Amino acid sequence: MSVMSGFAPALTAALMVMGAWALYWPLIKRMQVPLRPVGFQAVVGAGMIMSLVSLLLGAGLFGLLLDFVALAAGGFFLFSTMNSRMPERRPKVAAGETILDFSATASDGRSFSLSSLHGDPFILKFFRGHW
Amino acid sequence: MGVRMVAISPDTVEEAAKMKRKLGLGFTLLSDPSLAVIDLYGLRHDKGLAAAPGRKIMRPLAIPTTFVVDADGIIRWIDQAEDYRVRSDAGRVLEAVTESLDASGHAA
Repeated sequence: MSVMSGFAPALTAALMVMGAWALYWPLIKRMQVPLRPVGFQAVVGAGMIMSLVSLLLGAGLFGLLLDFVALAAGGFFLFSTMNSRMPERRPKVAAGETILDFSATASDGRSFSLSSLHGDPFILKFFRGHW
Repeated sequence: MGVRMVAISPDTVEEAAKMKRKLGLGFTLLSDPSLAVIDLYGLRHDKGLAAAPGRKIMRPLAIPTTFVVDADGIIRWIDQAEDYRVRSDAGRVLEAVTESLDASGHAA
């Protein structure tokens, strides 16, 4: 067995992981990511296993670099897609009930009271912000 | 449609102002860094995966939730995110707004 026998799996692994990212990224931009990206996760996971096999076989310096890319990009993909589920938490108010009034500071620094919208229909959106 | 939009997040006033400028948002952006309003509605996500520079990786955030409210202050429709990667579909929200506000007898 040659020292470089792990190079081919390293190249394949990097192509699989980066290929999955290349297909997934435009979906983020178009806001069309699937709820359960199992296909993407399977390809990324298989790529990561392949890069581990490649490390065992010995991949040479360039192969090592490819393995590192596959493991880092793949690990990030799996971590972020597997930790994005929201906890199931029912809001304290249900449809048909009256909205709860509150005051908060608006982005212009002024105080805003929800009751100031009284008489007009509105949309209230809770969001994650700048994270 | 004469429907106002108000959005609230755990961002500070400065962060909210920056986001409003950057994205050119026309609606009211509220800031709730103490999560007082988010807790009032029971929408705290305790270990939210955060990615803002200078912030902890895990910190409490809001579960993305949309309320459609009519002119009498009655909630007509609620939509909650199952996964933060997946956004509310704009068309679906618009449909819900039109339908629920029309059904409640108010001009939407």
